[in-house]
Amino acid sequence: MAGPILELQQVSVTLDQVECLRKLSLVLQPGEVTAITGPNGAGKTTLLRLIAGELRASTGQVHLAGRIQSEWSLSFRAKHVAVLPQVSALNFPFTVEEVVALGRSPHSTGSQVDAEIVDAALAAMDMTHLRRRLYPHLSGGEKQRTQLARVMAQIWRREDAPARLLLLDEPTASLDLGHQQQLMMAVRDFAAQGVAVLMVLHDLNLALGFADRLLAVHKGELVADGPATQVITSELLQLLFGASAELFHHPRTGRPLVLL
Amino acid sequence: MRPLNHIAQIWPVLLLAAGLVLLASVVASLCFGALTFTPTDLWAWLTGRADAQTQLILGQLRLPRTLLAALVGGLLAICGTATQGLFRNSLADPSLIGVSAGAAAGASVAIVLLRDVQWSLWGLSLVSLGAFAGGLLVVLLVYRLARGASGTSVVTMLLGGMAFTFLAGAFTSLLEFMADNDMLRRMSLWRMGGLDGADFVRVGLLAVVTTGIAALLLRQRQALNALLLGESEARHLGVDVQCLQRRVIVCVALGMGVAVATAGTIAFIGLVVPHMVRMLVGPDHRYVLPLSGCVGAILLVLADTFARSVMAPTELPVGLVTAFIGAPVFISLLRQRRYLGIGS
Repeated sequence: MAGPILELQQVSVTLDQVECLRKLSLVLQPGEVTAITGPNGAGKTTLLRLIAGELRASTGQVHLAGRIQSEWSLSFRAKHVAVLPQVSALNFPFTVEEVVALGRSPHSTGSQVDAEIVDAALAAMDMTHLRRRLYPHLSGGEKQRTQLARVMAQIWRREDAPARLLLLDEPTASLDLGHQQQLMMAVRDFAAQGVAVLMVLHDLNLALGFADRLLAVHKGELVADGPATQVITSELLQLLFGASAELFHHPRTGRPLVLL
Repeated sequence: MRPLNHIAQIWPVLLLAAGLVLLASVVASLCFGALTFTPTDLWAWLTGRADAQTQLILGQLRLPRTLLAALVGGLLAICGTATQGLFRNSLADPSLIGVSAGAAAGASVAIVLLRDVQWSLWGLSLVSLGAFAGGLLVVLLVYRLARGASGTSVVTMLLGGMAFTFLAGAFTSLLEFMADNDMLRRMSLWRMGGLDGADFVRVGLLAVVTTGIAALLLRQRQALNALLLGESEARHLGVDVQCLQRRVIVCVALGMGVAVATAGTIAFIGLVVPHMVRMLVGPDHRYVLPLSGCVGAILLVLADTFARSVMAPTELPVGLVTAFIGAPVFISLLRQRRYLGIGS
């Protein structure tokens, strides 16, 4: 699949007469891990919901795999875009592997293929040993990893959809440090298969460590876009969060580090 | 962990076992009652060698009644499963959206205000038709209330169901206030639920409705499973959530309306059976819907047999029996709510 996975051209979104996004343009390429940051209420979630197809652009155009937003069918969207919610409402006693298998429901690839994909997704999220556990009994972090395995299974194969986009809303919120790192590595490996990843991240150090590209959203506008290490400056942090942050460089790798 | 882990492999065996237990309970129901028959009598009846009285009791009274109990029980359990899936809450019961209260009000109207009208349709009396119309009307109003610009709000439906339950209850009370003694007794007996008055016309009607609704809901099994994840998650998996909700509500309203119209309000089958089945096979609707149908049928057949024989020749209303069995079972299930995932 040549060409971008997602393309936003001068997109504005107005909800209840409030302009939540203003003239935002963005192109996502396969294999790219992009993080979005910005203060609360800046429009990050609105942007994710727009791309997930839950909201319509008031002006401007959104193209997914070359198709304009008004022509996305439910099944087209489900095969191309997977969304990890911030919190999950599931409280029925599905097992972990059954939850992951639900990710395959947009496809009719047969139980053999689906079972292999579920196995692979469970392994990628280090959940294989918990596969028979009941979902409501898991800890918050285990639930989050199960849900990530589910959305990865949804867009696992290139054969099912040439252009694949993974949207993550605060994926590391309930994870310990070890599993934060493991999740980010798994997401990077997944992106390397040709998936575009777009995630909302509050932890700038995680963004610096694992994202190829960082977008900063402020009052509905894109105020910064570029390689994470170049985008983050003290001025930007002041603008976004009104906080005085110190920017260091790692003594060995030279990678920037943010300290509030 | 779950008692049955490899459900896909043992599913045919499990379904067959449930079918055999259902058959056994049907045989038990035919045997026991005011008059007890032995299996030999049954065999004689089946091969056409029984005397006229046995022929009449088994063929014209017990068989239609047993079949009706099985169909109503299955229908109630299937509607309960679908309602719990729709509300993503394993405590939801079809009566939550106002069906039972609306049906009671409709039946009361027929008993009190239309007592001089003798008219029936497909073997259903005017009381049954009133119950059906009342239940359907309330669900329709609740659904219209809950349907907004951004889809159907489940919370509004629950609260609306509650409000209409109160309204229908007040209306029923008003009619009770106006009614004479005979009407009062008929109203309260109707509300306790009973399967007397079963005949093959009703059995036929129930068979069509039950299989139709079971087939329609079973076709939505994947979408219903995805809906358990949450509405927007289901949408991201390609489910047309609004359309699914509309279909399930129509099925439940029709099914409950017909069940209440033929058998009055029978408590707890729709609430408890899906619970028990989920404990065994998990929440996948592919398995829960058919198995709930079987277990619901078994339970109501057995409850009706008990209701007919415990104080024979007097019959207890079967709704009383299910309530007496169902409430303790439900309480014991509540004690394991962490397992059932009702939430802490």
